[in-house]
Amino acid sequence: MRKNLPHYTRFVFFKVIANLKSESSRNYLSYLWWIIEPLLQMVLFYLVFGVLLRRGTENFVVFLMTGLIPWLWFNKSLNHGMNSIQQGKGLMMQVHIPKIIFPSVSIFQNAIKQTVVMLLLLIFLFFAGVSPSFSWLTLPALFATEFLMITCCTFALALVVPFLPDLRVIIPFFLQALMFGSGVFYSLDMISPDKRELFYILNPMANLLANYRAVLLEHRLPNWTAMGIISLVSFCLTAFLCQVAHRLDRVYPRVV
Amino acid sequence: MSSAAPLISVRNVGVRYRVNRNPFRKRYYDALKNISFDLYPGDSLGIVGRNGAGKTTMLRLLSGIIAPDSGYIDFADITTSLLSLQVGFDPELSGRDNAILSGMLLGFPMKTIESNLDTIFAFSELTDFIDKPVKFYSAGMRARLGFSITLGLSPDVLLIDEVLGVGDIDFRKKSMEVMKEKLLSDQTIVLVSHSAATVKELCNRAVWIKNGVSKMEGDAVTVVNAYEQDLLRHAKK
Repeated sequence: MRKNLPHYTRFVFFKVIANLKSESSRNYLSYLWWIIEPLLQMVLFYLVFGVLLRRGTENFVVFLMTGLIPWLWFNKSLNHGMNSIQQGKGLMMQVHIPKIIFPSVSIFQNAIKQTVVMLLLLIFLFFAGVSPSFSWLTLPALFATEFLMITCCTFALALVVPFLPDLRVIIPFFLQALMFGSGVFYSLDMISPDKRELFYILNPMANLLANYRAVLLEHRLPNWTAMGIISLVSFCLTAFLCQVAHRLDRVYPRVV
Repeated sequence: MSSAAPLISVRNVGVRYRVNRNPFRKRYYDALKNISFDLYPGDSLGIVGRNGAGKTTMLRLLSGIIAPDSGYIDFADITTSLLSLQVGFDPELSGRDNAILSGMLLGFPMKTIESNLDTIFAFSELTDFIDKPVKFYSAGMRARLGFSITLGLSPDVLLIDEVLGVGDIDFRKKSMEVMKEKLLSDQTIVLVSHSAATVKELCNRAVWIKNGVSKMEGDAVTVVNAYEQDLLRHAKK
């Protein structure tokens, strides 16, 4: 009965599905919320920016959506995931469980929901007059890059928060700052090209969002080098964080 | 029994918890100060002590949930499992899903659990509720399901934290019988309890922990009698 990696992988898989089931069974409309919630969000932004403010016509709504939806995934994943080890308190006092499982479950849960939202975004774009193109086929690559980035950031936060609970208060603020710095609401074209390079290195999120827009709106291919570097760095950091979590596995039950 | 090599050797183990978050004035609480004992194959070892003596901390050490701060524990390449009830139950999920999740957390392969589901639900007398969310179960029903999941558990060392009183009288009798069966078999067991009678009845050896120190180790009746005398002495004061 040795506990091992395949066993825990199956556990994470089963737990993610169970959590999604559990979450949706709490509401009357259950799974419909996966569609209704993002749809409402889209309608709201359409009304505010497309109808009320009439800012830069329909194009602005499309521009906003393509940045906002990937951003919200990142934002939600981090906000949910950073408390996950803390919330696993009851469980980790009863059985020995690798603590990295807690943020992993939270990350996969959000990723599955995001695939639905992404499909809705494509449908929205189609109806908003953006013609589908072959560049859309590279979207999974961007999705994977963002997934790795989310995993790395969520692991880091989830591992630190039990030791520094005060971070829970300050992190939403930093996330908001990051949102304003990533060009969700505006185009980064206003920054001169030579400085933009540096900016993209400092803020991979801005780079990622610009690539989402290039692929979805401008029918261009993503910047493979940039995406590759972000993925690789995220992956290495994630592997390192897994090691850290393993080392601290018997410490967390004492600090949470 | 003491002729064989011990499965677990606990030597001068201490555990201290931080009790504040001020980084400049750290305060600690020593849950365990100096604990030593041996666990031999086939033993049913009782750990007795008053509330707050450090019994639960001791179980967490033995189950590998935490590591000691001082001293060491020597595990002879064995698996230990805490007989916990309702591990990770999600009230919104069905009994079936909870049984699978809980069983996996206890280390059972998914297939084993799925093939045992009928037995689990039959033993817990919940066959009609298998697909109902656990939130509709009574507390007793939940406890019965939890207990039944752990039944098939047979690690090298089974750790029990006073769970013998589960559910109503009938079910308690049934679970008691199963527990006794395990205790009489070769299964090595550590039972934590503050009830002297339980330990005397079910264990052959015992350790008495007082204020985080192992006061006495040996034959269950002898140790428990000493523990009871100590309790009486304190009661008189």
